[in-house]
Amino acid sequence: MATLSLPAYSFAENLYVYYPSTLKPNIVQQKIQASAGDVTVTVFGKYSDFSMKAATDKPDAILLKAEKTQVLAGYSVVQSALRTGGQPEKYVLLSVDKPVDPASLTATMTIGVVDYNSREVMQSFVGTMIGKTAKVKYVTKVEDLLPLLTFQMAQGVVIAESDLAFFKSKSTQNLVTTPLKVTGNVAVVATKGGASGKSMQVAKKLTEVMPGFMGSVQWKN
Amino acid sequence: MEKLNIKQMIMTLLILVVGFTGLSAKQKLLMIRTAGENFEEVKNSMSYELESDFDISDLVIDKSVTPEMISASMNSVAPQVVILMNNTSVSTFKKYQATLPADVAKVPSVSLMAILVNAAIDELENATGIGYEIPIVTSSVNLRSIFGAEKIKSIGIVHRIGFTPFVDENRNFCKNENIELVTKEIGNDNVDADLEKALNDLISKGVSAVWIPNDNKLLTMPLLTNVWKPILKKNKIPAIVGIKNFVEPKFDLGTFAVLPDHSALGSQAASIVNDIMGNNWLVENNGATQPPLSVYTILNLPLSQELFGISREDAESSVDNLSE
Repeated sequence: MATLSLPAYSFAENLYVYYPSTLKPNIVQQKIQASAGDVTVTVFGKYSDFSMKAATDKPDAILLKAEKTQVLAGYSVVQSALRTGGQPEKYVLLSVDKPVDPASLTATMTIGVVDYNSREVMQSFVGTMIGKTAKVKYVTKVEDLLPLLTFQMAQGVVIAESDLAFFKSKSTQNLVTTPLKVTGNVAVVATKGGASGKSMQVAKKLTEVMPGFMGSVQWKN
Repeated sequence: MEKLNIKQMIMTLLILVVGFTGLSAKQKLLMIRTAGENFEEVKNSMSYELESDFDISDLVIDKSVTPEMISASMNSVAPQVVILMNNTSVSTFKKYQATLPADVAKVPSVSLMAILVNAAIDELENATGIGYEIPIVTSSVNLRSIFGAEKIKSIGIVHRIGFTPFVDENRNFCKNENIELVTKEIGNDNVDADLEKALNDLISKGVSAVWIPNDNKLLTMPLLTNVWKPILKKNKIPAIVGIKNFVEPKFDLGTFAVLPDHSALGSQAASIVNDIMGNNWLVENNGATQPPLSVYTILNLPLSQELFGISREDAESSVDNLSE
């Protein structure tokens, strides 16, 4: 009787996660890893750390805040998250005391934004948001937008409307908003080659286990 | 003299080796810093942001650095912009710049990780920087968001005169956040007795927490043991500290530590470099500095539970790290 020797295949997957959340990445990672089965999840708190590690390690799947054309080279989007009810992510310009009319911004005025993609993508994103070129000041974490307003280093900061409650709970300054016209995905899952069922399931689970991480979303393939 | 020349040659060689990436159209940046983990973290983060546009030369110095060595490095690298990390780098670069003719355009510099950076870069031309002291308003707002607005309404501070401008600037920012700063300035001569009296005085005014400045004169071991610790403990007052060890439960002093986020500090510096490049290598507002925008927070869990009854789950979701 011949014995057939098969190579040992591993079906485990690696999922790298970067989303500019107000929750701490280490907490999110602990919680989601506990229910991620054999998918190894790594949650990053900064886009630069995420993109550097992802470029080196080439994980099976990535979850990030991006539009389809903005994911890392070699990856394609297999799943997108929208707000509950199929609504896109809405953005507002947050400022102190006086709403900032984007039309009134001059080239020397500064707008703050979280650095959640490459500088080129972010510069273009802010330009599209406000309809003109402005000086952009980047921060690495959502919470760091507040000091830009506190120390009057920016006329306004771009935030997802869903993060407004966080800023209002943290600061007693008179925070006011101006709605912006551009909308987008909340997040996407992208893989190196076709659908990756396990990582897509983990992404869905992530939003169930940690509802505060991305807020309330619904996924679509 | 011969020793100095050899040292200069080694440094120049080091810069050339580290900075050499072949002929390119990239701009040149010279980083002058001391060795250490935090400096490496800032360097790595800044390099990530800038390496597509800049050839980065990294000059690691120690206290024996001289203006002549800086001059040699400036001549060999010919940078468009200089990053100065810590007070030794800043002061030596200042001496080097003073040797240049008045009518020569000065290479712009960004100073960071230096104590009281505003004062450190005073008289330096075409210069800007990022403060290393965490603004009191940042620490206070973070403390309030953990324990609640009902419990954190005012912050007490005892400080020496050197910190007065910093405290006064933060008083206004805190006012905007509905946090009152109750402060006591003490002199330089009778620190021990004055500190004890001032601290007791603040506490008698009912402050919600105390912010301890990173001032070596106020943080001697006898003062920590005989003044800070017993008074805070007796009155059950939480303390915000700026030194990691102070928030360890075994040290028995701080409730909440707020420290610079060095990776974010590198990103912030990179952003300033890009602004300077976009302004034809001129600092827009010479001598002006920015506060650090990002912080790393640590909570002393046992002490926080004792003072505020906070749950472990709430504590770990509120800060970057727990000390227990």
